Amino acid sequence: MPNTDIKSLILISTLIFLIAPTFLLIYIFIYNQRKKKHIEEKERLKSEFQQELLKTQIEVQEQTLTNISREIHDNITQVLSFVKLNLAMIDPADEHCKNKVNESRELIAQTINDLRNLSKSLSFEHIARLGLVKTLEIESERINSSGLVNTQIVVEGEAYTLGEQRELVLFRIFQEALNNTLKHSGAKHLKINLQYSKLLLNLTLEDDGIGFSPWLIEESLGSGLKNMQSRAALIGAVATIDSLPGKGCCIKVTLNPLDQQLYGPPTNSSG
Amino acid sequence: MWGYFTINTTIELICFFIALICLKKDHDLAWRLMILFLFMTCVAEMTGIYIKRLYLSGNLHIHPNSWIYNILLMFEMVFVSIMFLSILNEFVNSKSIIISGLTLLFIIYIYEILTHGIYKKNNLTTTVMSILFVLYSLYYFYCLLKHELYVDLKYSPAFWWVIGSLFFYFGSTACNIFYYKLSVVTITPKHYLTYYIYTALNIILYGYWSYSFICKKCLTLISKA
Repeated sequence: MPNTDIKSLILISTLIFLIAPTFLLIYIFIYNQRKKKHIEEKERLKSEFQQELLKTQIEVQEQTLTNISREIHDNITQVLSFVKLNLAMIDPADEHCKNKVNESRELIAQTINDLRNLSKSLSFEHIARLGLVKTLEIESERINSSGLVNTQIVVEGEAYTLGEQRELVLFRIFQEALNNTLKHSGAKHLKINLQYSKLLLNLTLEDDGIGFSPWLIEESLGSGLKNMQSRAALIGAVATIDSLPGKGCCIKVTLNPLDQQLYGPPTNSSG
Repeated sequence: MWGYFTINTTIELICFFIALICLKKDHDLAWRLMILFLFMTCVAEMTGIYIKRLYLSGNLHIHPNSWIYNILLMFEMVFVSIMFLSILNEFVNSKSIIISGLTLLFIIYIYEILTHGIYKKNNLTTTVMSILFVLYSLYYFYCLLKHELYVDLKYSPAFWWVIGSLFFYFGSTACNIFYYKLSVVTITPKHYLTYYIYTALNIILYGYWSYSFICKKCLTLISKA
């Protein structure tokens, strides 16, 4: 083989040795991009599945609550009303017995009233009929009358309907927050603020209770706080929880009414 | 004085200073050791130029500068292996692989020293080392692609460090195999073909390594923030 051919052969081999890693580099980048797409797709499917699961859970829960609500309204309160009527028909001669009957009638009347309120609070149909603002006002009155905590509701801006599903989710978040306030915070005041603007709806719940450390929010995965955030995410809202020991707790749910997620579009009728 | 600043030494010095700035506070010892290795490389290169001058002048020194690179080779084997150990450990326990490879390299190294002395280039050790490092690099890519987590390669220091090493050791494998054929081919009256190939390989190697050090520094800053 002539000397020049050997030189060319050596040069070509050297070049191949230099070019080969370049092709490898290109291949790795292409493969990595495909891997990225695959992972993103997997994440999307996982997220969709989680949302679907959450939606189903909420639907089942709502159905159960509606059934309980109907049962309370149609059966228990009816039976109690009947007992109340029966008591009214007794005409005892004994003054002591008469007082006892009247006392029992008052207690039954109060129980019927409480059960009706509870039935309304559980029922999906109730919020669909009255709207978020009215339902919150009724709940606020109910809590005030119980004397457990003093609530104050403020509505800013012109209220509009978000669609019954989204309003129901917001109401359930409110109930969860209220439950936490009553159970854990030892608060005396609860301020409920609803801010309506064209592109934003803010529901803020602020109490003056004992509060808690921010790391508790991270630790309490799966509990009420996590539930609120999951429910908010389901309707495309964001729930932020601010709290410090001794500084109370503030839960803020922010929603863009034009941003549709899972549930149907809002109607334009006023609430 | 300016004769010591060739393309090779300049790029090595730049890479050393980048490593010094970016890696001096790095939490990973393997990456911090790169500063020491690059410092040793710069010193060896400068000394190599000095000895070459003495050798060419034919006055004081009778041997070419290969022995300097033979000493550097020993450190290169250790430092680069430590880096591969650190990088591969992100995916698999590579201790046994790296230690086996290092043992093999030391056996060949000692064999070559005993066979032809320190003044002749340890070509076999260099070739085996290059092949081993190429295999480590390929194994790293295999692990990287097989791993279920996505890594943004554009900003991955380990990836760019391995790419630089792969280019250099893959290219230098060809040079090592054909070393005695290539080293007699002259391109210009001053330099042989091997000089240009190694210069190109050095630019690629230290270019990629410098970028990986910068990525490492950025990642450290981000994680601190």
